[in-house]
Amino acid sequence: MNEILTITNLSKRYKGNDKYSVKDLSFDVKEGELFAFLGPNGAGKSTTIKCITGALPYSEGNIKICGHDLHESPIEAKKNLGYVPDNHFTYDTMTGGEYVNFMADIYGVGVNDRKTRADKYFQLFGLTDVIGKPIGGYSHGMKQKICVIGALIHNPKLWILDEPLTGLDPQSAYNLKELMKEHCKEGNSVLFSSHIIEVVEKLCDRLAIIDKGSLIISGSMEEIRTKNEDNSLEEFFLSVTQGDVIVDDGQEEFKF
Amino acid sequence: MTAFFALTKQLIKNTVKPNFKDAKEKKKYIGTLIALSVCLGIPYVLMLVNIFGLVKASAELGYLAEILSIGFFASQLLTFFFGLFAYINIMYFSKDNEFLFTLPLKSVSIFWAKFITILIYELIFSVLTVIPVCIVSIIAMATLGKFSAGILIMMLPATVLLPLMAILIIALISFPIMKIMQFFKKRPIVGAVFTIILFIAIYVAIYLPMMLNAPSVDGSEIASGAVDGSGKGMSASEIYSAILPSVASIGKCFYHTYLLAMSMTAGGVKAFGYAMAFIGIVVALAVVGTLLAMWQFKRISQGVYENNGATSSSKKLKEVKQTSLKKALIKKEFSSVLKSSNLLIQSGMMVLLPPVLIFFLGRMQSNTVNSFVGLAVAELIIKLMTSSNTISLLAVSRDGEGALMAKTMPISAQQIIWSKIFVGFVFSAITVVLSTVAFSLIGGVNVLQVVGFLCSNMLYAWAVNRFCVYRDLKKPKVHWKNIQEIVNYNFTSVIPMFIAFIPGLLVMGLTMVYGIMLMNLNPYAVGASYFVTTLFVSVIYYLVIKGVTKGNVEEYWQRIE
Repeated sequence: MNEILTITNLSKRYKGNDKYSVKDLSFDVKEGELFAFLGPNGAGKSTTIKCITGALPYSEGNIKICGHDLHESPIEAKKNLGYVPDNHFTYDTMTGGEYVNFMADIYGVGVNDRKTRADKYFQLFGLTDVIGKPIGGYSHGMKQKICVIGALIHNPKLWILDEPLTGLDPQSAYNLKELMKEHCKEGNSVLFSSHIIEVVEKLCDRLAIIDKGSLIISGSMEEIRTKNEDNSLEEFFLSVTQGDVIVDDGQEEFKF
Repeated sequence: MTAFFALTKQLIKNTVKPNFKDAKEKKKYIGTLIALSVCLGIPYVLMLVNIFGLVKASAELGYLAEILSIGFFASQLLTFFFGLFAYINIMYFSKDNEFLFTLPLKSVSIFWAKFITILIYELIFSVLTVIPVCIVSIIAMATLGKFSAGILIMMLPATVLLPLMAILIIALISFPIMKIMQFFKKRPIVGAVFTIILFIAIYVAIYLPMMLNAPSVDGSEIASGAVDGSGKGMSASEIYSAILPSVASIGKCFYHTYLLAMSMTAGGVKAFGYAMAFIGIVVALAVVGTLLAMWQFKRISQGVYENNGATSSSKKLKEVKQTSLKKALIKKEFSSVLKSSNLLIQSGMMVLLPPVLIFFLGRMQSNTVNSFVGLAVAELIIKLMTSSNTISLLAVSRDGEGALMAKTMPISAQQIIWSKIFVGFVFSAITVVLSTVAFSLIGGVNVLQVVGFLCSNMLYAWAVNRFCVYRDLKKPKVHWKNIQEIVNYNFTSVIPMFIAFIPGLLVMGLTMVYGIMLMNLNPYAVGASYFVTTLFVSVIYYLVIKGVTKGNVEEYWQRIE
């Protein structure tokens, strides 16, 4: 299988901070793979994802998306990417339809493709009735759904979701999980971050556990179970993260 | 290019298009807009009528270019002042930056899309000033039997190039400002003070030498223009003849706008030469300004939201003391203001700009009579600036969803609102005190004028802060992730400023009348009259505001959602 995302020795330190938020991180996501990124709050998941998507600069390491280095050819790399951020950013003055159309323009999606995909996703997420309404009036979950549609409108090779299931109703959460699986079946890849172990356990093909900015382990569920003497993922996760809770980008630590 | 155009189109739409929750809100907005247009339209038309007379007289006396130059300069100054906040907010603090950098767009494309958005946003000032002045000038010239081809040809380029020039200067200034803010990210007060000092220094460096080179407008000319030796009134054209030579010489000192005005009035090859010289200045600024801004755009923008993610050094809890509710609320208000760099810079600018402007403009006056011209200008400046106090304009909105939390606390809304008015007033009071000091330093003023200025503006400051806080209480925007979303210059903040024009212009007018009509009386008698008048206007304003804002605070507070 081809590698869709390759991260090599990625390190990220926020300006004015001595500590690394991500240190020497390496892993890859292969074609058709549903990859989970697991870690406690403040472990460095969002920072890593923001580096991969180009939202945050990084000075050490390499990131390649579909063979394109993010530093050397950022536009080509980003063309293969669809991103759903944890803050569900959208323009509140736009209507749902305008936002999706805008994203299609940015990624150069043809009229027929954008219409087919938009119709499918608007229907799937039950947003057909609010297409013409400003996003500012949408609920938290609806905003997230519109972000998902915006990220999928160009059928990206790599779909990245940061904490995607937070705030979704059970039906929408189910639909989203099915959509993630379907996206992988079509030969694309999905990378999502989560701290909900049950979701990761049921959904992913492979996963990486990160804590305090460093990779603890990565591999398939089976590989991890083997290494972990058949303990549950939850037990393993708690043993490797030692119940630490790291607040705000891993710079201040409190243990309980 | 398609992606670039799609982004530019969307950014412009987002900035210009108002956001309504429902049809009711839209109707209310349109209603307010119509009411405001009618209220402001009348003085606006009167102003254009006056400009017509002034342009006609200056054309007859051969000062048209100089007068147009002053008009263009004033328009550009307006763009410059409002543009600084708009530029920094849209370019660097906008919450969409983090999203846009994840899209397959070059950072240069994002920069230009934002730059064009800012330019279009700021065009509103020149569309409302440059175009009407040019049209009025063309009509005035036509009544003299002259066709102004130059004004007609250069009208649209001037409308675009004047704000463009102001934005390019802002692009240059914003670079060191952002660097300072990032350097002092953990000490917002120090950063804000440095930024304000830098801004004022650059502002002084760019604009004020031109003003200081300008000769004084001698008040006795104005006085003699209005009343001749026998006390008999003179005609408008005689007044213009008396004052235009001095006023016109100021227009020549604004070199760049004078070049533009000459390109409109000189005619023939000369006009073409002046136009090229003006365009040359804009192009040179464009090359330096945009290259520097483009070069640093991504780095600075990413630095802004990186800073948001970083934590400040932890401080140990100091000795815990119990304070009264009133003190606790005031302390919380000060703390929230002093920890927000952008809010602090905007408020700080409003605190420090009036005394600086009053001092420099006042120094342009030369004698006792002219102190009233300085005083009149000072009155208008202080009233406009105190009504633009962001701390009060966003009194409730800046609490964000914390306002919803406060609703669950066993505190009366009256107490919360009072603390907000008080903190806003403290900042305005500093402005008033500093402006009084600046005003007293310009010379030719007596103690009664100084005390009158201080007392009346203190009362005005309390009233205007009360008005601003109540306005925000009625319709706060509490759902935001980044405070820059609400600090952005917006329509709501313009209303108190426009309303401030009324007492501002009233006191300004009355002050000018004192300066002209009572020039032969005892200066202390004049000072006392001024004291009584200005205090009277402030008391009336205070009572009006008190009447307008006597609505049920508790009810408004409970309505926040």
